Amino acid sequence: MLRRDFLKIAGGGVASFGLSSLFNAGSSNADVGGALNLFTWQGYDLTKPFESWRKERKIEQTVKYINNQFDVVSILKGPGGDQFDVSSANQAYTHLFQRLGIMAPISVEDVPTLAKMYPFFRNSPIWRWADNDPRYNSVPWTWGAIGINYLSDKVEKPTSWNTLLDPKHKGRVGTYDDAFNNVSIAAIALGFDLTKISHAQLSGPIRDWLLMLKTNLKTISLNIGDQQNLLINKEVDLMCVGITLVSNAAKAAGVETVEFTVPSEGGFGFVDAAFVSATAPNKENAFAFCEALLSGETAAAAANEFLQAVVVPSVVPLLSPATRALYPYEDLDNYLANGLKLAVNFTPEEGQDIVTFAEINALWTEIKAS
Amino acid sequence: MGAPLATVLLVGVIVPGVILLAYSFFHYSNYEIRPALQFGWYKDIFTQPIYRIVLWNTLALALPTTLLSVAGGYVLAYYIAFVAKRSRNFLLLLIVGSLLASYLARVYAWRTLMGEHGIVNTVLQYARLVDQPIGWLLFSRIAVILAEINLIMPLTALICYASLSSVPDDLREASRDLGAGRVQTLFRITLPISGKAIFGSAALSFYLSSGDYVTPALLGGPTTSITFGTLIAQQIVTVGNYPLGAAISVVMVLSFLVYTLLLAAVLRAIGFAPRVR
Repeated sequence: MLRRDFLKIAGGGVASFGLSSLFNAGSSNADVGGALNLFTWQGYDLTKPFESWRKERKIEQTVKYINNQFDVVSILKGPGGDQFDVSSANQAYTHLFQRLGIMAPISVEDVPTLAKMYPFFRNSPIWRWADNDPRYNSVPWTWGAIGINYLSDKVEKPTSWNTLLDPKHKGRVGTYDDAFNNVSIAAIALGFDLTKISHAQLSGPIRDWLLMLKTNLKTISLNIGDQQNLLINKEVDLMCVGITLVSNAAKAAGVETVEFTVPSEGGFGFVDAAFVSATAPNKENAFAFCEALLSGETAAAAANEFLQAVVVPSVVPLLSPATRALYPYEDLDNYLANGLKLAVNFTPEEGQDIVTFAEINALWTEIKAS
Repeated sequence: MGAPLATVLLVGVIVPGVILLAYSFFHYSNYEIRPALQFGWYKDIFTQPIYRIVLWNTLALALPTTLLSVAGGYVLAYYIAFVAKRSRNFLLLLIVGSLLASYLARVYAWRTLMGEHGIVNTVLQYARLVDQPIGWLLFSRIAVILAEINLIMPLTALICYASLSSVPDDLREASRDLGAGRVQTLFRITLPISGKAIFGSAALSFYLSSGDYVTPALLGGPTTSITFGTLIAQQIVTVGNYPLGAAISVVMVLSFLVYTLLLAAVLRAIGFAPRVR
């Protein structure tokens, strides 16, 4: 073979590999195929957006939906929990779930695109297995800000979280049964640091704020999907735990007037990560699913579906203009470090005056009963 | 002949009951359960104010539901047994047919019926009977009670019908021949004979409505949605605190026992149940 011929072949091989890695997420997983059992948020199963991805890999997917994050531990540690391959963890729960032994470590060999995430996600201890450990406890793949969804034909755009407490909205506000989100909303409305909610803050101002919110609630929905339905059916005018995807869902249901806003006090951020269950029976499929969530057209399809953000720079050019415009990707690390407030610490060390999950759950139960 | 029944009772009732009781003494912290013999959960249930509120919420739903389900079911059963001779089978078919629909679908159907933009409010506004939608038809205690009656009354009607259909016609005729009116015949003959059915349906209604956690969660308001049923579901499914969930369940079962004894005593006292000989 002549040197010229060899270079042509080698160049062609490199070019095709580069193109395939840009557009074909997950194609590097060798033993993929068969069952994939998800226990995740409704929508995060991506049944439609990932249809051709599953067909190509002959993956048969089943899904059970989470009502709130605390379900995850109860179900995965309970009877039958070992059937699930992939579940979902908000950034506040990753260390708790890891400590409870329901997560499997994920290496860059398992999910290669972990190495290509924005530095904020790649280097943050939130998703790392341990200090100085290159493995991850989960794969952060989508994020956004939580604000307020509202009916623009019924109410003015709420400029503050305290709008939810306005007596003129009595019986017209919706929220769902989740202690973490409701306590975080109260904390951010009151200007507290979400990473250090103290016991005095929780039992004092946060409790009072939530009691005032309760007087305006129509009901406490079972889950975020139910809350969304109430807004779309115009049973409520404002939805506390608001996300961008609700506007999309409303438009799909023929309701054009559902809008999303982040109040002046700021939204609090959420980063949802997919994790592989410690007892996952189909780990290779689970890793392939995580890779698809992160990279290429599949990641872009997911982000466009939810109007949420991505964690890998190479996916940004594949986003729709509407999705692309939501967040400042040109200065994302700065925005993530300084602009988005993430609640992260509900598993404090002994001696720290920081509330735990058990304490916020207990307060929320008290609020519901009062 | 008793051995299969005893086995079913042992496996299906006694063994799970003992396991539940054992769990109620275990220790729990941050999703970790440790076997123990501690009474902390029972102490919390009987001393913390939240459980009194939950008890009130539960009784405020269960007692009206029971009363109205039994009364409505009895009236319906009486009509089918003694009045509706020709349409009896059709009416029974309707009642049984209503039970074939999924419980969850029926609860969700209430939202379509009773919501602010639901069928009832739309009809009322169209007929100019109201200017604004009636808000309390959904996400209120009344909504939960109405939905639970809808779910439970077919059962009470069937139980009462089974008893009423065995009341001998000649007894009732003899009563009227002796000068008793319809009402006297009802209170002196029919009700006492069907007393066991009233007892059974009142017990079943109360157990079902007290333990229901789906209907209050889907149709209840922000203050009415928390009952013992929802609390048990929250502790076991969400928080993972099996010991507390088990303790609340044990307390509920004991309170059912108290309710059952009280119910029997009341029915006996008013003559709706045969006296124990």
